[in-house]
Amino acid sequence: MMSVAATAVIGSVMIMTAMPAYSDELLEISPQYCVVENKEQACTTEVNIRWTLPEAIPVCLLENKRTLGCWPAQQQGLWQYKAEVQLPAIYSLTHAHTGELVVDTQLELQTLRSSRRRLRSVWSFF
Amino acid sequence: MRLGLHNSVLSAALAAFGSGVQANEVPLKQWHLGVNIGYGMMTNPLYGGDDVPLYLVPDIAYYTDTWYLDNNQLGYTFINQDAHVLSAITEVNPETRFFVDWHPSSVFALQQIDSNTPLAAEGPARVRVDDLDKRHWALDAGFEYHYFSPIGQFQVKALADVSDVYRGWRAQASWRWGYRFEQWVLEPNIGVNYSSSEQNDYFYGLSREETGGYADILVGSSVQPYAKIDVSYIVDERNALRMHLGYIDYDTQAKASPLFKESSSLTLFIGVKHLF
Repeated sequence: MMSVAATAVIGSVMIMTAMPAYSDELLEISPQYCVVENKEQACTTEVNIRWTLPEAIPVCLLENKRTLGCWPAQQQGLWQYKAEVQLPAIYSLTHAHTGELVVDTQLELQTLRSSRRRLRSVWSFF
Repeated sequence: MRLGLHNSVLSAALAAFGSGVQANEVPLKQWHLGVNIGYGMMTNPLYGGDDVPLYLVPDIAYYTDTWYLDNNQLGYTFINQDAHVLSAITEVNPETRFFVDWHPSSVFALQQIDSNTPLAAEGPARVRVDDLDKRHWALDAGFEYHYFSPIGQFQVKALADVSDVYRGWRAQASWRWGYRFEQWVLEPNIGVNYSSSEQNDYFYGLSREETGGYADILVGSSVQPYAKIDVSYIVDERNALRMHLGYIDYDTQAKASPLFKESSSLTLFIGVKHLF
């Protein structure tokens, strides 16, 4: 997912009216998938999050809407923690001051379930 | 999507019964194709109506994590937890079954009665199905909730006509349980159906035209208890002997509608189930 970007230059000062469009590759999570027995189950796993931005900006890292941490202007960052989150979870970097989305990515769900309970009987119609 | 012929479905399903779990398990993204072959019928409580023959009853299901198709019902499951399952569903309304011409030559065509013949009385205040205007098949949509408990599977559903046929709604509450003892599997099911007045009036009421110019006959809403039991004897992974008995009460409708000759419908089937 990408944010819409627009910039305006006034004199020699560049004012960001919206965040640049950074590709998803700038924010990497590992693992990319969390395997759970069924999709209602929360994912509990060690997550590594790494980001590299084209320029140094102050950012906050969010898990869905929960802020995990904020950092002063820097181009790179790394965050490791034990996640316990309902999937799918969106991890996003937002500008620390404006709250605008910089880049986001998703921790996706894979279930182990290979079967499910049948809900109907063959005799339901009769 | 793959057309898989799963040969362990029956055993997987039955393994669940032995431990007291009531519901069958079906593998995801594989077709479950079975057929019940034997002799049986569902009695038609209406004057002039054919009993519904049950010689070959297909059993078809396909489930994904969310979507499923299972014997006449298409569903999307929002919540699928150990104890709670909530789905949006759509299914064909079964009431038309008593208005179908089930003579052998018509069974596969599912021809419906379509006659403009004036009302022919068969005794006082009694009319025959084949003298009526067509009762169309209706498609219903609504929600279904299952609660899986140690004492069985409870289910409630409510659906409304979305095909502009009878313009009413219906509901059902039921309890189902499965028990396996060695090769025998017993599955009792009891419940109640609610029919709105619109549904009853459309199917079992009579229009002014059908009464030969007299006033409409309206049936009103009703609650119909029912009970079913399914008994299977497992021969092997793919085959089982099977007997089914069912009873649906139509007492409220029978008291209000001259179409009824009986106040209940019985279903009986004896045969074999084969899983492909």
